[in-house]
Amino acid sequence: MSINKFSKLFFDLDSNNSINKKVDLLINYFVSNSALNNSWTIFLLIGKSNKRFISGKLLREYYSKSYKLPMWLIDTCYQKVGDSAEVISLLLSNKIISKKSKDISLDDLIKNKLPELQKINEEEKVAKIKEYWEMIPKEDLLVFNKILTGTFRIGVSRGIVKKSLSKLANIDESIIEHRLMGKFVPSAKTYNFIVSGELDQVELGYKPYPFQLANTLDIPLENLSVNKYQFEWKYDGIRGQIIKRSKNISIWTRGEELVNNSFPELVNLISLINEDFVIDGEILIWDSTKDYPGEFGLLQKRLRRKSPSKKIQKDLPISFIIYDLLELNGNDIRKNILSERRDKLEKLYLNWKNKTSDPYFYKLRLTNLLKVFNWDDIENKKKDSRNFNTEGLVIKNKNSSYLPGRKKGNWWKYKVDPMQLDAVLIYAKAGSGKRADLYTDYSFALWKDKELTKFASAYSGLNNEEIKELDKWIRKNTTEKFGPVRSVKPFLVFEISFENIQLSTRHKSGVAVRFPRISKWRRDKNIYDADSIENAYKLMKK
Amino acid sequence: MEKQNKNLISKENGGIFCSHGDFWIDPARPVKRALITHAHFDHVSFGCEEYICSPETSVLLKERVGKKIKVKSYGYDESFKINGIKISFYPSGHILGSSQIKLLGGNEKWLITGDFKRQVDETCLNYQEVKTDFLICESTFALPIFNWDSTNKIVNQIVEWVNKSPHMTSILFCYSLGKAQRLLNELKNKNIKNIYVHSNIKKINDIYIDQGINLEDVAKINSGIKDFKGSLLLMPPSQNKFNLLKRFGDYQTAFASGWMLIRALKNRSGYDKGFAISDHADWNGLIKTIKNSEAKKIFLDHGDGETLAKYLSIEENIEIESFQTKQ
Repeated sequence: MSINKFSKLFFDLDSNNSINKKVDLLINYFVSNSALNNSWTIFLLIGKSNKRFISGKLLREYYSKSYKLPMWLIDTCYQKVGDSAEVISLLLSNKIISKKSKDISLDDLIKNKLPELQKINEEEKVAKIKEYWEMIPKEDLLVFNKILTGTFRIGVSRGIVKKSLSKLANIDESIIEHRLMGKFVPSAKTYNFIVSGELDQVELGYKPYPFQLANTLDIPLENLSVNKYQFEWKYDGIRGQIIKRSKNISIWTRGEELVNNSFPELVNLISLINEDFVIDGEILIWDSTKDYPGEFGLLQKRLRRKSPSKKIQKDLPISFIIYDLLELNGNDIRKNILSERRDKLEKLYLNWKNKTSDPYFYKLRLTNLLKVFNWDDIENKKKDSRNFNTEGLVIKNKNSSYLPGRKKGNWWKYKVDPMQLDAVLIYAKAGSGKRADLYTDYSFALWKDKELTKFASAYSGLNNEEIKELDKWIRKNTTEKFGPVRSVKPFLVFEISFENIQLSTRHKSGVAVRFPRISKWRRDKNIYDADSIENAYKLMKK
Repeated sequence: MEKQNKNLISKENGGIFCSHGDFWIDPARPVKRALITHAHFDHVSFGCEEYICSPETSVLLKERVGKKIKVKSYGYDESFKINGIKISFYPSGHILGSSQIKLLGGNEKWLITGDFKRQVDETCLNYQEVKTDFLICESTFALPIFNWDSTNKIVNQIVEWVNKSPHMTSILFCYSLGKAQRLLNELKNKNIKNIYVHSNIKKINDIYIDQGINLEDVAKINSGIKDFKGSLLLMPPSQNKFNLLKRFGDYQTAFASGWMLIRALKNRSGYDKGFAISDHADWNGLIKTIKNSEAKKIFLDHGDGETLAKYLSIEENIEIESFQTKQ
């Protein structure tokens, strides 16, 4: 596929806000192009190509070196534009480029040419990239730079691609979704498989099933009849799927990464099981002494090790908590209702557990079904959830099939109320992407020894009107600028919500919070009404 | 501008002030005597006792600010004096009647560019380079990412955008004064089925035609026409509201502005498409104007002036500072 063809599609999609128009555009495109071309297009549009050949910062540095423009000036532009690939293509539009522009092959670029960059030294890389910049037609440079920096996400989400393919091939979206999961090697065969009318079980065999997700509970609890539901803890780990078919084992995360290498102990454990299956669950650090999960931070630490040593495996022990059984001995049982799947899962699990002699069998565990008989029990469990390091409850309809995505009504998440503190806005930074040149990254402070001390940063929680209003206020009330960051007059108070709070030596305030976000603009409060760090400590002790 | 009282011109709360001459230039609040570079509302304050500007600007001011205002006008070739300060207007190429203002007094020579563009635009006089000692230069688009494509290239893109969707109404938003007329003039001999304009734009068109600008008399949108499929509609950005647009059925929108060069700004403002056509100077245009003015001391007003000032003082050793009159 030529880069020019894809670039044209990119700008066409970017010039239409309506989803239906984007879908029509894509269908037209798929119809009039080859299968090979289309598979490359899908590969790029749904972000399967998110490999980064060069970081955005390096790209800016290469431009600075090649065209002798000071780095600080490029960085200032970056703040305005919010995307390194775009900044560089805008800067290049100003360069008189030799006439030898030619169209180049995208497959060759991604498969062969760009990987070669890893083999040459820095100086050669700068020269090579410059050569590309001056060879590729101007209008295709944005796409080229985006492929380099692995930032390919045009407002075209996976959803739009899925919709177009489903409409084009007249196949249910959930089947398309399944075929798009997992490893994706662009080829004519791959495309024909995605849109084919016939189910190819062997091909599908390597792919995880699309995950079912829970919606936030937004109906009164009283509308749920307790005995129709199954109640589980909502764990804060990494959702995953384990596929075992004969000797082949794959552990997929919800982000569709294959993580076998990160969890060798799990692979080993699974390989000792006779049956074939696909299970859905959560990877967690598990503290066997307390019998509940460790902090999410520990799991992150563990994930950073691509192939963890025995010591790491011992110091940061993981468990896979099984939620559901999706396939048993080659039969897809997602259409079976939850209570039946659970029965099968329990039998499978107990059968194996009773026979196994593996000392690490406890690393695979079934999620507990919570004993709940009435609404008060549910409320009490929810209140109790922090004590077990969970985020609240998941409520599942026992009569429901396993469906892809966030289908409303079958699974609910009932999260514990967030912790909250009132904090003072002290710094702001311009956002990136869509929020470029808008001050949307905020830092908040609490009182500590009569001084305001930074305790959390938050990006979300305000609506567009509030963001605009705050952006204006920040520009007018800037006391100091350092690089992209402005410090502002301490004046505005916001209620900050977060899920958890821990001691931290890495933060000046001494605490770290998880998922901080703005829950309310407290126009009624002045800075002396804001919370103190002591109040933050009190939350921790609860 | 440390020793303000020594200079002819100073930055005062609300704008550029000449104390010797006792007049303001493009003040942000009502004053006794205001010199006006051009008739855009961010350069004109209502309620001044007296306005002084080019003849074309005076016509536009009367239409936009009020028939009863007191306006004195001077052509580009006639200089005049206020309290001993010699004043002359030079075309700035921004919109009809837009002027750079040159001041001479007490051994100082000043030039205030006002908004300007160096690209050719047949709906106003071409920008003229003027030499000076002190320069106050606009700097709305003062980043090296801003490089304008040729007007013709952008206009052809607009034509393609309209004609590619013959079953839709194409709505192009643009400022009523200046941009709309420039676009209409550029679109004159292009192959577009029909062009209609919003009544605010029509009003300005009539003034332009009256002032001898060769524009076609384009019909208003509200003149009984029902079917806008395949047509191009020009409207001011204030009309970009679903309630006002839904009557056009299947439509696509675009905005014509230099800011549309940045995708994030385009996407955030909700237009389908952006056309980066501007009535301001781009990065290279600003630098050219600054250098060719031969000014010893330069002040940059608006936008990213700070950045350009830093760049020129470090890289070119030019004595320059940012000088924001608004905010």
